[in-house]
Amino acid sequence: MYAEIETSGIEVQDGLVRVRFAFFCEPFDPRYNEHHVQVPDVSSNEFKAGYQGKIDERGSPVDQKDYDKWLDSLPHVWRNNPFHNHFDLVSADITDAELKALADKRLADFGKAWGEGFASDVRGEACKQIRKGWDRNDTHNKTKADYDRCAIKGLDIAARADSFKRVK
Amino acid sequence: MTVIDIGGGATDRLYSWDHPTYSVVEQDNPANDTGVLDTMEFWFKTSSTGLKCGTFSYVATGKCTYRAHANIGAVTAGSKQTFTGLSVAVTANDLLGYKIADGEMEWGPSSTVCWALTGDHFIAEGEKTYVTQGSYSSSMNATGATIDAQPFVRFYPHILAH
Repeated sequence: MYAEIETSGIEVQDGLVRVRFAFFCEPFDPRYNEHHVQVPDVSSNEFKAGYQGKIDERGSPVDQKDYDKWLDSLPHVWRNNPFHNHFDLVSADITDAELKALADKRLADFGKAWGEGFASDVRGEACKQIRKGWDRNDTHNKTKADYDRCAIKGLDIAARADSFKRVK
Repeated sequence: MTVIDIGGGATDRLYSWDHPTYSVVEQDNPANDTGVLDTMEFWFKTSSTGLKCGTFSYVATGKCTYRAHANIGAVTAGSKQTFTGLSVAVTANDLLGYKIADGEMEWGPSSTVCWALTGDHFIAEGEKTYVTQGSYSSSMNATGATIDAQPFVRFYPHILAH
């Protein structure tokens, strides 16, 4: 398993930097196949050419079934999706070592919850399982700072996101 | 503490819809209680960017008022994506809504309707009138918990000390 910082989820919130962690399985991890999936290849020429069927004045397809048939006919690619995503609020003063330690903890906790869970179509069941990995009493650095400092820290974390990848 | 549940459900549904210009609000499964949503789930057909998801106060058919939301960011397609660590205010009977910059969330037929309105309406702007799009639900839901009343001693320890 490994954890990455998803930069699109970083923002300033309440005097803190909100960081989004994404957790992934590797082929030898439990339940790997649940998030190793095929999706339409949005980089393909067929996708870029766009849907050629009828669309309304707002650009939405008139015949939904025809549109979905087109979508399904596109080339597909394999993708390894996160098995879970989690947001944490951290201080603008958080050190790299502290942030890596937080990523390690979240990966270990959510990874354990994921590994001990099972696929379920029962509403709320899978959610209830993964939430067992959320330690709400975690005491990472949450010292507040002004907006500018938080924004700069957020940009800094985003620019160096690759360096925060953690492997279990 | 009661578990709060809102939204139609993040399941693998048949259809998808390309509508990045709209804010969408759905009537399926209004919030059962008042509190804070800390978890959201989605299922996308094609990967999305700029996802916002939040709560809207129901006023009347097609009319609602924005309450709160979370900026989720990019979401990958093809499997249910779960997000914890959120903090979104919700009141009983609120509806769940979303807005994306790109991508397609899955949807399916429903006994309840969906409303849409051009533009980003995840801002405090008062009551808005949406356009009914049809009877369907998108693949999303959120959960959270009610906030229990705090014991008297937590707020007034100085009184008890005398």
